[in-house]
Amino acid sequence: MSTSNVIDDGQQVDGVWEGPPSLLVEVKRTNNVGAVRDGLLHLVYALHSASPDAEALCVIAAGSRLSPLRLQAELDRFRLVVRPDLSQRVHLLSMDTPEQVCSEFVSSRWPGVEDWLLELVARDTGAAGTSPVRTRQANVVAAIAQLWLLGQAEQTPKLLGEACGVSYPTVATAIKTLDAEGLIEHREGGRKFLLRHLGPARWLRIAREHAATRKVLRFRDPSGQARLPTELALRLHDLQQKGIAREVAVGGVLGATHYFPEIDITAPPRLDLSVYGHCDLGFMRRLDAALERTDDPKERARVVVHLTPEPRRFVHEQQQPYAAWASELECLCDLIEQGLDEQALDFIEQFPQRSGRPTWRQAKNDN
Amino acid sequence: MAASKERQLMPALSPTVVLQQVSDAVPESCRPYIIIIGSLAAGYHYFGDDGARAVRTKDVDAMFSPNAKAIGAAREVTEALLQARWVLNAGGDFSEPGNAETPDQLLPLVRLKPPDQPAWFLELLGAPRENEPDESGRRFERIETTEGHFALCSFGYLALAEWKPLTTPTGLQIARPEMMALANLLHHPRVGHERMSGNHFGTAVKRSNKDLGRVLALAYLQVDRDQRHGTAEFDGWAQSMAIALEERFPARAASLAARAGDGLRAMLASTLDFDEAVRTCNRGLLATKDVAVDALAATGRRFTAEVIEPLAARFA
Repeated sequence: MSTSNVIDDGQQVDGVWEGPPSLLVEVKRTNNVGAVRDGLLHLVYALHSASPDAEALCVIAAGSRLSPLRLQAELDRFRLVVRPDLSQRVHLLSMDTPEQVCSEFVSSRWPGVEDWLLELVARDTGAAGTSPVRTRQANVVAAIAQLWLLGQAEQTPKLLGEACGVSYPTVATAIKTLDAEGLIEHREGGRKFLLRHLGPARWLRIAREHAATRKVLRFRDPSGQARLPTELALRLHDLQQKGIAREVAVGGVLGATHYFPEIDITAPPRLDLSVYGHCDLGFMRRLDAALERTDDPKERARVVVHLTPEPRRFVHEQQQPYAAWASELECLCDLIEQGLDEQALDFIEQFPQRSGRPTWRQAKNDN
Repeated sequence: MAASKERQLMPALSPTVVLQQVSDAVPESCRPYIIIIGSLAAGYHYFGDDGARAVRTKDVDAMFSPNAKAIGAAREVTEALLQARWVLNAGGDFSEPGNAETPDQLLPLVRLKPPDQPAWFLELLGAPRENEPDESGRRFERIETTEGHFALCSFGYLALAEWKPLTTPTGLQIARPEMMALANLLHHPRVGHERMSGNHFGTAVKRSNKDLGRVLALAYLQVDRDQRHGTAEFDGWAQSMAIALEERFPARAASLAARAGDGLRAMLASTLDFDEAVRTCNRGLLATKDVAVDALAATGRRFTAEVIEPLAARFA
């Protein structure tokens, strides 16, 4: 794990992963090969002062115009001119995307280092607010909450990690967050854990954090003849019966009404769709070609598409007639995004019942 | 100044009043053979029940159908209208009746104005011959009346306007809007250079822009009507068009369906042509709607995706 970024004689690097072997890391967001050279040399100086088995990694943040071939050539030259016992312990890694560190060498030599590296890069490049690691942790917390709603409060970190597609450390950190709030009961010597309960305030927080991990695409209808959200939902179901847009589920007010018909909303103001996994958005043209993307948040959106990181297993599919409903958590996020706070709280009030528990109000009255 | 000139050129007509006026004027026996087409038919269908809304047009197009009955019925109607003091629409190259020596293509069309009503005229058209339904060009058939010789003009794609016309309480029929739209689409496989003669809408617009713009206006009005009435007739347009093509143009239905959207797509892709089409629509069928350019563009996208493409796909 990371402890300090200062080596014994005061040499400072961007981060240190305590191995063994320990790994000194320098992060560079650059298109300039000179800056890469500086990073490599800096790491050699740091290695000289570090333990003899320590190694070093220079990470080139995503978006660099330096090609992998150019970087490899620079590393080769560097190893030619620098003492081999030091230069052979220095490695270079170029990130393809801000969300991914791909290097079999690094991940096999320092298991679990990827998430830490991502956070380090995000912090070092000023993108801490959108840290991919925090995003993944938020996704895990959201999945734990959604599983609780499905009556699956007891989970194992391993299965949860597989369901969310994240590493064990990420799951562990997410569980730790909930544990610190007294929401987790550990079972079977820590192999399993149980989410005890979530109060309305915590639900709202989870929803907000989950919403922040979604990508939102807004669509306006300039025709002046916008179709009703219910009509669009029916058109979507027709498309889905033809095998189109099967990764899409209806959320928002319509979805919330599906789970809780008594919700106090007379008509859905828009259609919210949650897209699970990869989906070609070409279906939007077939849904209604009059719709067009808008980035203006003030413009009235008729359809809002949320690219959600949620696992598809949370979609509630009904067969006859076919309909796919986004998870309760997705619907809750949509209500909050639309400023329907009262309805969001009403919706949350129903959650314990859905998971087979009395509502908070019922529990309060019973006490 | 321009607006006042336009008002003179393009009178606002109540579709219900005009349709009733035409019906009252023609012999009862001829009414079943008359199908009103064009903007009056569209206006009657879409807002005939709204007294506050009008159609801006100067010609009321009456097609006589079927072809076998067209000449006889058109002659009878012409005689009846002239007897009722309807007058020939003067002006232009073909406003005087011809005689036995006048070639068919030089004969004037029957264009008659109601008495004391200079704002609009009734133009008589003929349905294409049933044994030559694939004729897509213009054809003239002679009508001999006591006033002289006239021509009954027909276009091949008018055969679509004959397909299951809608009945009205007046005894006259009106063409289905989607059939008028399809006829216009097929008539303009590209944006042509021909401009409308005279000061049509105050300026000389391209005929194709006017006719293809009319297609979008019809689609817009259909969606509007569906939303008001809670119906979904627009969703059935592609199917109706496909059936009509199969029935009226069996040998060429697939190729016609495949190219039906060519002209419209070309017009939508041309800013200048599309702007002209929008202006024309807003001075005609959409006069009381004042539809914005991006709104009609959205209608164009919707029409292309939900009518043009499914129509072609049915034959693919």
